Amino acid sequence: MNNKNIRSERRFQIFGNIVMIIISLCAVIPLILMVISSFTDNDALIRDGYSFTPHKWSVYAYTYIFSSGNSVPHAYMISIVLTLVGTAVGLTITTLLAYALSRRFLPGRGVLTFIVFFTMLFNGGLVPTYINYTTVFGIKNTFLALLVPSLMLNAFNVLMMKSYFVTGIPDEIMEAAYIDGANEFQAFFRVALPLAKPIVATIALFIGIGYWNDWMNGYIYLTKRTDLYSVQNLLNRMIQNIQALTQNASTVSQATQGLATIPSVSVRMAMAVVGVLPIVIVYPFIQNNFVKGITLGGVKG
Amino acid sequence: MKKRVLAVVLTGVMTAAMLAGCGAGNSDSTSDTPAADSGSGESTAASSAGTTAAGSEDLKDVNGYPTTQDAIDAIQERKDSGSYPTLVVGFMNFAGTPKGIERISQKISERTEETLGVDVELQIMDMASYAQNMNLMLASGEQMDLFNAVSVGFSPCVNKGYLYDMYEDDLFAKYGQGIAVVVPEQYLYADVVGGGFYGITSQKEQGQGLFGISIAQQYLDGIGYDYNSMYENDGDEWIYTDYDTITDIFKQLHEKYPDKTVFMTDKGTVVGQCMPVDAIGGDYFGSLLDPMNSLTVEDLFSSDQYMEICKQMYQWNQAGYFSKDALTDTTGTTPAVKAGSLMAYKTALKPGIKAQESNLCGQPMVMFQIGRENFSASNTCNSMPWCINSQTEDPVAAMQLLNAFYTDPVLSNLLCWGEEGVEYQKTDDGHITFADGVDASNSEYYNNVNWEMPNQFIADIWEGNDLDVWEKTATFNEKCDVSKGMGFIFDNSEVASEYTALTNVYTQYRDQLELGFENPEKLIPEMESALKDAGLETYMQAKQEALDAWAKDNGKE
Amino acid sequence: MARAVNQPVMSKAKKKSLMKRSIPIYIMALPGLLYLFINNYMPMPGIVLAFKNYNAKKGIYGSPWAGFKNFKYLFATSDAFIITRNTICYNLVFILVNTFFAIFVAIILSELTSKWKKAYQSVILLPYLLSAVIISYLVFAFLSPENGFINNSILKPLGREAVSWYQKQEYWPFILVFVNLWKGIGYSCIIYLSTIIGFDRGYYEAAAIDGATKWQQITHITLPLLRPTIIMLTLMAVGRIFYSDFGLFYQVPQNSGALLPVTNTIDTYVYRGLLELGDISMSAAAGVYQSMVGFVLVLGANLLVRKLDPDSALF
Repeated sequence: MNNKNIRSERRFQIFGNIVMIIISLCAVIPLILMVISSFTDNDALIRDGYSFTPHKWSVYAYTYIFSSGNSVPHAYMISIVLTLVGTAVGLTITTLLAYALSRRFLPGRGVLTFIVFFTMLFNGGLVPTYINYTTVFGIKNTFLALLVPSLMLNAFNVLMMKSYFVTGIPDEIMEAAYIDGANEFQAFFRVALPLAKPIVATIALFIGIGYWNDWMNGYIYLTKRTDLYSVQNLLNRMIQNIQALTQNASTVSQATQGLATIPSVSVRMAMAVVGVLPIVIVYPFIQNNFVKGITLGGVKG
Repeated sequence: MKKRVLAVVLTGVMTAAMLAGCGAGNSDSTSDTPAADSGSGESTAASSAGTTAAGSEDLKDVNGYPTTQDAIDAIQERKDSGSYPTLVVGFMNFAGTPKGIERISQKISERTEETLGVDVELQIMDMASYAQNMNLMLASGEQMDLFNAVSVGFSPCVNKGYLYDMYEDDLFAKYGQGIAVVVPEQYLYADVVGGGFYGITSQKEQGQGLFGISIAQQYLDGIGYDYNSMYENDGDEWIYTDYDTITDIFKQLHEKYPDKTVFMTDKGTVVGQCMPVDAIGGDYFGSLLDPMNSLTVEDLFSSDQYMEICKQMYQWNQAGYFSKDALTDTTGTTPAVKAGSLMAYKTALKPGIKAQESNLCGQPMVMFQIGRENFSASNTCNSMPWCINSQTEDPVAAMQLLNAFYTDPVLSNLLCWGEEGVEYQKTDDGHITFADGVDASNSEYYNNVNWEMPNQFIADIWEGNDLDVWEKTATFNEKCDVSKGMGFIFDNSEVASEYTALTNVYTQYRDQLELGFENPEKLIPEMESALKDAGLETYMQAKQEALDAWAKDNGKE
Repeated sequence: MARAVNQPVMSKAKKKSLMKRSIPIYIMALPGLLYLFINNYMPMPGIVLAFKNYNAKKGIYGSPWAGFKNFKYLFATSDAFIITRNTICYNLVFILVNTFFAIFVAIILSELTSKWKKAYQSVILLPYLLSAVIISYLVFAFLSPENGFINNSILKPLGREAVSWYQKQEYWPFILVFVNLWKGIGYSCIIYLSTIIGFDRGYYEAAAIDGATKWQQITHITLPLLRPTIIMLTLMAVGRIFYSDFGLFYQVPQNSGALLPVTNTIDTYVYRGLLELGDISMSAAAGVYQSMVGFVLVLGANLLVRKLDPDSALF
């Protein structure tokens, strides 16, 4: 290391930090507005609009969410269990499939990859999928309806991971493992998987976010069991209803009555905060895996 | 063909029966309906002669409505068999499946086991998901015997074959006798399409007072406006007035309260709620501009009427009476009044409206009407009809259950209000109200969608409404100007491309014009040419042809 | 297929050992493939809906054929050009802008040593977690003509006239690109970041010893190593070039009619048209159309990639 290098390094660090601070501010300012709105008096919101410095503060939105028969704590439980189970199962089958597709010697690898990729472009559509899950598998109004359809594994994640296995894990390392007498499973668990930690953590995050944010499955498959609603289902139900009401005011003149009964602006914002909060709390722990990934990479080199 | 003949015969017989029941009037006028009688249920309806249609004697069901031997036999057969079929009933509300749904289903079943020999399972979905879920359930053939087609769309349901034809096997004649008494004839057969009888309208106001303006009383008092002397009769709910008077009020309001928005209207409702124009066939791409007298499909957007209403709105908007956010607002009018940011808004008028709006706004409201037109458009009865699923396993039971929903006050109360003593209780003066310790937020069954229920007229009346609100509504319905095209629906699948394009064009211009943000003199010609490009003429022609054919079939010259 | 050519001709013994090695791999792939079979391939025959006149009594497969009638509305009018143009142009710009910024941010993050690094990473991911409707409210909070933050707190103090944002087409291409970037950058940046983290640090150390500057390290090591990932992500994005994020184009502009010429995409056009029609065959047709175009484009692009850089091709 010479002086020129150290200077260029320092310059880069200053530049990098400034850029990231700007980008982070861009990302976070609207969210701060969201949090402030959720603590703003609802009438003030309607009257004055959203503001960083509201005239009147209120915790009504949160008392409403947590007290009225909405059972948010229960919905949290559903969301958490769903996300944990879904991520565990989804990550397992995604990783296994991606690894399989990354093995160059595998006969039919190209065809299999294409089979996976094809699902990214074509699907049967909502109605056939619905009929498949309700009449063939009968999972309507069950927990499985939240867990299984569409979220568990998607081609994008598989191909991302496959590409990481192909490029990020040198063949020599795998060959060395075989020479040491490892079978395919051992090679996968002892060599490939630890080296793939960054991508495994990333995909876990993606699958987890997918489950946490999903409302579509509940929207379509839960028509009776509202006790299975996740946080996002509750949130989206409210928001969609408002949307539907404003849209249909022309066809259903009674819609305005409905609008008046549905919780108002500050509650929508509070619901969004309630929905995002857990990820904000959990994310730093997932990040630790990225850090570990770095150290491992170092050892490897 | 056979069905159509049958339909005509049946209609004739029904009319005859009803005339006998009510005694007077001629079949063409709108005033001969027994709607007023049905309000009080058993006593009056029982006197109607009724049931000659199916050739049986003077049979009555548990609620005193005419019935037939077939119906009685069917009930007996189910009871004898020992196992009651379960019928699934679907409708929509604003807040999703209520907590008490199982219990209410249970209570309804207790009653229907006794009177009909069936069990009932309710499925209540919220507005946002109802159309989607219903479409999926109907398409996949899940059990859903009886449902309200609101927001799913009556016309698409008919076109896709989701609905059971109640003329088939004389289903309606044999098992729907009570409905024929309860629902006024001019509205009852409004959902006959191409000779098939697919739906029955719910009992609600079947028209609306056009161009109603609702203004918060406190602001009128604030500018010292003497509205009390403006009522024509004692007990009138609204004041008849004109555009200039309202403009004058708005001007004074704006001067006195410059920080508040004067006026707001829900998007997309201006034409429908202010003009006696019939969106025949479900859209404005070809409308009836003189719907009481003519069945000619004309272009609304190039008409003087449309130009005039847009100009009126433009004048108000330019004077600063609208919020600048009106184009994108999602708050709704009544919450804005409640929050104190809005003083007046447009609403459709009907009996009971004053109490309803005052309640929603949390303060007394004064209602005005510009002009005095009460209009019943052709789609009035097919916006929320009750329908039997074409794939139901037991159409007879479904028809009988629907009949019971229209005639049995016990069932109607359960559907509308829930369980007495749990959700609601009777007050001393004959109203009902929340049970002790219950309110709108913690009630386990409070749907607030009684207009969608088959017959809210026979249910108890909530506190704050006049006890005679349904009699008034029945009178109101009789007095409405009914569109000549009442009952026509348009299968636009052959011109779907044009429809899609036209909808997109209309979306582009609608709110700017109808909320007065742009000068109509300038923008309407622009929209006109865009609509022409999108195929307005082709679409209108297709609609006119369908309407002509319909008119011929239904003897409307 | 291309790989097979690279393999030397196999002896019998080798083939046998290949089978032996392959069986465990197939077993690993099985659960995932099974899932794809259930979730994606079993409903796939439903695509025929797009070519049917659907009638509930006859069911999906029993309904009469309609040929290409259900597709007509996608092409029949003058709007077809606008919605296709909007969809493709926005997607191309999104691919370019998002890829550039995602790589830019990922590289900075991977090289930063400050303790704030973790915080940056979490914060830029946050917008991705919000639903489109909430985002539309936040955008509205800034752009509302009456109470909006920009009109009231920025333009007014500067003595500038308020702008009716939801009526002015000219701003929206920029607003939409920005919102899309704001929402998506955290997500796509993570993919690149995890790839960069996986790179062998040895390359960088060697380069540093040779006196390479940071910039040189980035252009000579990081970017070339990232190439396969960039190509793959771009290929996948190309496959969805006829799709658009409904929330972004419908909710965020608040369905404002005046903006339609610059916000109408295939998805929003279809949605508006079918909202009341509720025709499942026609919506299926739109999906098939979008998929077909994407499919053809991806096959073409992949072919090109395979010619230029066989290792980066998708399949």
